[in-house]
Amino acid sequence: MVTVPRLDPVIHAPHRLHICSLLTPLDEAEFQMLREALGISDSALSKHIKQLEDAGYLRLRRATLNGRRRTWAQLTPTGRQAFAAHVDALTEIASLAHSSQ
Amino acid sequence: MAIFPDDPTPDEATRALTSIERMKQFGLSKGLYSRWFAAAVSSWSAAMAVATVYDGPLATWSVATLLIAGLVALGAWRHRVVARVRAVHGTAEALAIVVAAPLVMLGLGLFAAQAFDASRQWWIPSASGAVAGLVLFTVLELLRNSTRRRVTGRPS
Repeated sequence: MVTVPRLDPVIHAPHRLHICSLLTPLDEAEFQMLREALGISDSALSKHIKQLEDAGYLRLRRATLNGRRRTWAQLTPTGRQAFAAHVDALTEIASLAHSSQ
Repeated sequence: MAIFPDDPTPDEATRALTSIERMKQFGLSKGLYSRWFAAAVSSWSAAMAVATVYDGPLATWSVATLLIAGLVALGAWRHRVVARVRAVHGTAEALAIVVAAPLVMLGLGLFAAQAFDASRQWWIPSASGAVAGLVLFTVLELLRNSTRRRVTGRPS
């Protein structure tokens, strides 16, 4: 019996999956950009970010530029590792479709 | 094969992978400078090279105006940055970009200035500007493509 690698429940939720996908090629991204890309409210995004932060997958950085306060989000090394493992698991599951055909 | 009740079906997993790829591309498009940005920076340096090599009566004013315009544009651009792409280049490549590229541009400028002083040919400042702009645009495009390829495994 082959064991399917388990999907990470923290990452698996669609919005959190999108947050991680967006942040993967980036060093960091601004909170507003994430909100616009996902098309969700500030509070909903904060909730998802908090869950990723609590899991140690994401960290926030607050900075001020010319008096304007901006919040930046970035994946931690643990978050990158967990996301890569999650994508591997999805890839393996998706490959079942090809092997069953 | 163990299929857990909460696991997605192969079709759902395929759809999830597609959306992951789409979001990655979107993130990259926000974090990586565009071809238009590369063209704008190259045009600015071409104009700077022409104004520096051509030491006519308005050359100093032209250089000063271009410098101020460049600084204003840089300030405006910093406000518009909403994502920063991951650094994927090694130390050797970073040194080549930060040290070698400006040195080549400086060498080109000095050579063109001397040639213009000696011959007063009108085309020398324009040619040096064109070369500087093209060299910078090529470097920026190569850098953009290699960053995109290394981050996502795809050329632009």
